[in-house]
Amino acid sequence: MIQSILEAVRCHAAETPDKLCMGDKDKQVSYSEFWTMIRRAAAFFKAEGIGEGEIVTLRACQKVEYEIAFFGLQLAGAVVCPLEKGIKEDRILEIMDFVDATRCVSERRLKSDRITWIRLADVYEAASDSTAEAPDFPLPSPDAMTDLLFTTGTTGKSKGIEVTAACNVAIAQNVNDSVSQTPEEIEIITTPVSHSLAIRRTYGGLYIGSSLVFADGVKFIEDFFTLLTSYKATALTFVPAILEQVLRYSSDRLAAYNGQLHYIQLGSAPLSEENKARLRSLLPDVRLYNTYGATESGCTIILEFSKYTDKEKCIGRTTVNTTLLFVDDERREVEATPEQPATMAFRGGMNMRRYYKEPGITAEVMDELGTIYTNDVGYRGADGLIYLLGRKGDVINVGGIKVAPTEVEEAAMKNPMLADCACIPIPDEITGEATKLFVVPADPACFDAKLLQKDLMNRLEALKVPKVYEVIDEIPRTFNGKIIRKQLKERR
Amino acid sequence: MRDKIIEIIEEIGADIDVTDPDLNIAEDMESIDIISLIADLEDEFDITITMKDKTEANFRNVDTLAEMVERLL
Repeated sequence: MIQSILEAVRCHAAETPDKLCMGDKDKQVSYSEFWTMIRRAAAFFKAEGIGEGEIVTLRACQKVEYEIAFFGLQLAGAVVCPLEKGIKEDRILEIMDFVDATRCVSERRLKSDRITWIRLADVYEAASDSTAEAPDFPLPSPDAMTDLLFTTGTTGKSKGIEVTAACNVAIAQNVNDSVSQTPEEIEIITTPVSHSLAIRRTYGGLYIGSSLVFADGVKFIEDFFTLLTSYKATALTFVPAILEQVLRYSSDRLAAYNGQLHYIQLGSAPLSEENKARLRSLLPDVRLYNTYGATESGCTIILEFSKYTDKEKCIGRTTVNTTLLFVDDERREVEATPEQPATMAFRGGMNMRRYYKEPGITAEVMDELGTIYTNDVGYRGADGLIYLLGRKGDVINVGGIKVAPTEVEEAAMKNPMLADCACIPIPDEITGEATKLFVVPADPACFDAKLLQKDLMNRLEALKVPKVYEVIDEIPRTFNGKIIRKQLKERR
Repeated sequence: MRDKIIEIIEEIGADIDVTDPDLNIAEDMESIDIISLIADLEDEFDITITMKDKTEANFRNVDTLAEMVERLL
């Protein structure tokens, strides 16, 4: 049984040595080349003095070089702590101080003399040196920490999430299962490679032995379509915000790939019902998925929304290693229904080990069995699928009726007066809570809150229609498009 | 023109240091910010940045952006 992603790569290098392992706009490496290069990279890191269990930060770039450094560090016995490409140096220092790291692998020079900079180009040069030996290294044991992932988080402070080799294998199996992935797939990953969504799709591909292509978002849309054509890609990974850019500027061009693509998977944030419908109509023969999961518990639920077209709030079925429980506030298992939804909790090998140096916060979300308790509220429907109403603090209780803010937002976005919006609860004397809508008008001069409210009366049950409207310049969102409701609640 | 381009980049709040000699906007800016940059440049200078112009070479730094805008005016 495969015990780490590195072990899977070693197997594929032996069994399918010439098969494309990964590529970007400039480079491609086969499985055998990748395995050789990460062994040379590991030797390079060892020669730099990197020790077993040492946490090394690695600044992202959407290139093969980054992946060679990532897996080279793991093979050298180090723990990889991926950092966003655009991260500020102050934040790098903050994270490095917190994790007691001294080294950072990065394309660009770092200014602080407190950081030992390892140039990514030097790692790649060492890995590509065909005259150098590619020594063997012991593979990580299942319980070895291989990654330390920092969440961007929509609430509270950023936390370091400890992930083990065994956990990554379980997540990779979840990924494979979720999209019925086969070794023949060639998947373009457009999301930042430091983010758990991209890391886990990479693990899934390497575990099953398929091919991966890294694109830098879709910032230069021509580059994206060039990759899609030249690699004959069969699968795409997006976050909704990036997909929206493609739909806005190049939906017809994407539709032309209906016969080439097998599936598209989206994660990190829910895709709007409107964009789901749009994708279905553009790509009628492509399997379309929205993944539910967290950095703490990867790829736990999957919705094939090309198959289930009329199930509002549905997030799909659990994946192969996932056991889903519904619990009350005392963490007792309960039966969740549409009338009495409950908090979702997850058991399974994909769960993180703990939060780094945060035993208190770990205990808040995990028990001694490794069950992770989320803040998400939902239920299992009569059809066996899971339905999500929202986060515990986000679900709005209007006189006993549970209102998902996303439902209000999606209804409001159908009104052409709006460019964006976000719904939050406000206290209400009669119903306990009511809804408030922050709106970004498409044209501020033409916005009329009364007209919007009237329109929403036709689209929503009366209790769900927002009582208060506030015009705002911009809805605060994370990079992947999730609304930062906490900031809006602080304004109310 | 350079000052206006710098102002636009800073307004997008893309965490980009325009004074950095190693700056590579195409590499360093997130996808969403590049889209905003394109829209803002089009609005400010009343130009149309075509697919052909949306290249890494044109979006390397403030100077290359200024050259592109100049050409499209």
